Amino acid sequence: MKRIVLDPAKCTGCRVCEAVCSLTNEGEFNPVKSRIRVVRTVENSILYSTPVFCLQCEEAYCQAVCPADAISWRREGLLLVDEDKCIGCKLCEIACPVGAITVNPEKRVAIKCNLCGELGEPQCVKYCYAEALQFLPAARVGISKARAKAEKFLEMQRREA
Amino acid sequence: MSRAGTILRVDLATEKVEKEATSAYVQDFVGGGAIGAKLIWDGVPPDVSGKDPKNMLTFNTGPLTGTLFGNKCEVMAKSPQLANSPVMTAGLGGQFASEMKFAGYDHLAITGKADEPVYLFINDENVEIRDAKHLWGLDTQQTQVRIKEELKDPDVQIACIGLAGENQNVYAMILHDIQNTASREGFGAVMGSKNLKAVAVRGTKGLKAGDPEACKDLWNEFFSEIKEGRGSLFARLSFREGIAAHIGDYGKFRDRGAWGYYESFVAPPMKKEETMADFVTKYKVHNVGCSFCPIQCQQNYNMPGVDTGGGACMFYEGYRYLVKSHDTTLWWRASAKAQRYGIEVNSIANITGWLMLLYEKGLITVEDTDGVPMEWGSEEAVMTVIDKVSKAEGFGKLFVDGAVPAAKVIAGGKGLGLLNQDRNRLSGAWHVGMGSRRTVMLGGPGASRLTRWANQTVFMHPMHTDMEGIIPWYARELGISNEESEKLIQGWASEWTEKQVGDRDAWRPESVRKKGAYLAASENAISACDISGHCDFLSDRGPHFGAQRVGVEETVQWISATTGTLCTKDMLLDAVQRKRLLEIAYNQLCDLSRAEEEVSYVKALDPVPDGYHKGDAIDLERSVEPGAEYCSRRGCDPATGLPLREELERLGLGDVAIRLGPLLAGPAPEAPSPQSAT
Repeated sequence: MKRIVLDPAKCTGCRVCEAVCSLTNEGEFNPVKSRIRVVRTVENSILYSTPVFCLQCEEAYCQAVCPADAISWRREGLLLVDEDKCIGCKLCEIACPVGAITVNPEKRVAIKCNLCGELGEPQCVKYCYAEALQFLPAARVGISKARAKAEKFLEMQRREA
Repeated sequence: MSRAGTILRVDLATEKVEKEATSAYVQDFVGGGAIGAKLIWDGVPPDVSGKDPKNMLTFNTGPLTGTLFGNKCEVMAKSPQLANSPVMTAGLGGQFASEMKFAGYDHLAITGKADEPVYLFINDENVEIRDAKHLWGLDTQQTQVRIKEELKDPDVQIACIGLAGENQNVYAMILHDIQNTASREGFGAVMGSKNLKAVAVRGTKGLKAGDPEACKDLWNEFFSEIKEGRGSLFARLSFREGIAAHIGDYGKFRDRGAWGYYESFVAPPMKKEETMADFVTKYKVHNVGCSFCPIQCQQNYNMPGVDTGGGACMFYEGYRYLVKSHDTTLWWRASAKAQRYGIEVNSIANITGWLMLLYEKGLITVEDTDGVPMEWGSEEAVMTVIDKVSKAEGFGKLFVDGAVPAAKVIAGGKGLGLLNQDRNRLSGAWHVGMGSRRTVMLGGPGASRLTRWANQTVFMHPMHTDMEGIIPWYARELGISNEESEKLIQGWASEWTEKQVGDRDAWRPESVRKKGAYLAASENAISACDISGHCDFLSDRGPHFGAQRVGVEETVQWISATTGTLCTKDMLLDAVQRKRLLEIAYNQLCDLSRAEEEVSYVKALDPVPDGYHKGDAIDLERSVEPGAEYCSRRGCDPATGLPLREELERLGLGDVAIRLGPLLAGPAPEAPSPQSAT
């Protein structure tokens, strides 16, 4: 099982992920219909940005709260919305702890990350130039995060060696 | 499909808002700056001055804007920077142009003057002219914060002016977000003259891809090129070190003492802490740039205790070389301040350097500059000039209409001949041969990119500055020697000019052969970007950056895929041709005698007396042959620079021929038909 891993410090706020996601899933260039959203804010002339996307919660509130039983596990690590079952009630949007599920204003059904299932790799990850997003086997995430965070300590050791 | 479909016209005087379909213009003009040129041609009499309420400020997106292939709009209006107010353009990227498209508008055309300060709020279908009295006097950052708070929407995108624009200084720029600007041509003053503090846009509609599968394939190709292909060299340079950090540190500027105003002084060797590379390492927060572009080529800086802000390319050069300072703290303090005031950094650095030169030569004293000595590299002097000019206070008032009017007054006019002494890319802010009949022919008047391009192409000596600056960087990146790197880049330049004009040497500064054709081809490549909404920094516009391989061929594929309607190379190049001929014709109708008068003050035609550039001169004779060749490529008469009647007719621009009327050689025009007599 693979999942999307984020390094927020690397995000430049370029929003390529939004455009690629909406193109792949909706045939549009439209942030509103993107399953990944980049939150940007400028404070005292400094830009802060981070992408927000579905983390595929193990115990998913969106699934729990859905009155139409429209959200279900496709396989381990991938929760999907069944557009035919979705009634557009938006309860999932309220329940989601990260703000990663919303309702397509045109089709009026819930949309969330589907990991670009058929393509084998989420397109937002594939085209993230800054490599803020990665698609990693779940078992490797821990060590890969640890590696990144440990770099400072490794650097100290290198200097001493 | 990837066109939003609507042109929005707003008259601030009558508060009238009109919407018009873009479709009527698309076949002939494609989009962007070409439609912008048509809007101005149709809607603004040539005798209107830049700050006149009748001037039309246009924001022109292209079919690629808001897609993965583009994000720019071309801001176009009559520029107040030149006495005859020609039509000029400045690119504006960031998130603003894409948001315009998402709100449903391809073009925005603003005329009239509001009675009191206002801002425009475009919220999808709803267009509102709102009071901005409480925003007047705020800087460019405060303005955006206040508007976002007031509209209760942090995702609204805002283009605004600061104090310089409010005071209608002709070097005022339009600023969006942190560092995205329409900096050239004084369009901030145009906004100020309309009492327009800001344009705020929020769009939620998105753009449907005409052919999504083709879009995905083309995007994959383009992304691979800038991620792994030859284009990745420049992309990596931009991403890692910033678009222009290298320019100040390398090449001609550092090695050859291009310093101040080209006297024989040679710049001392730089210490590490004086390099841009060092500044970037220490103070870069991260990269910033435009929507949907992987190469966030600009930089967001935080120098604790000094200021925060963003930067693209110019301030490093401006402050290091024009005011003779290697102090990065001073550059940053000045540049960040200029951004907050909304005044173009290189222009203000130029003004400062010129005053310092006059002070050194004893032509002015502290009395002329409100008690502040204009000593080379002085922080007090630098900050005073920014303050006074932006606020139009004290001696700063003299610069409201630009350097030439100021120079006529200051030092009894003795400093006039000292303007325009620079002859490389720093020429941006001054007007080398500005607005003359010759530059109307060659690339356009003023400080626009096309003009600078023309000046660099035809007159520059020695090698192209940007190319020279990039040699050591590519060498370092590829692990090769400077000589090998130079050969590699020259090879790319030759490859491009051979493909475009059939001559491997046309790019060489010393080569005159095919120079005019080369200029026309480069101009086509740049204009294709201005029309489509693609960024020319990621295009193959000649050897400017060497590595880029994306050109007009790719652009038309993108337009076809995103719009779902076939766009051929011929269609796009004809649109370029229509844009250029409209601009040329329009600017010929503007009062050229006033521009020629300005040129007569320019002494830049004299050879440089000493130093590395000794003997270099802008030799107008050198432009004769390329000029004639350029004209023949462009469909103009080499003798007059005017568009040829048959070319205008081929392009369906018969109305242009009629308006040019007696100026045009050839058979007398037929009686105007009712449709074409606009």
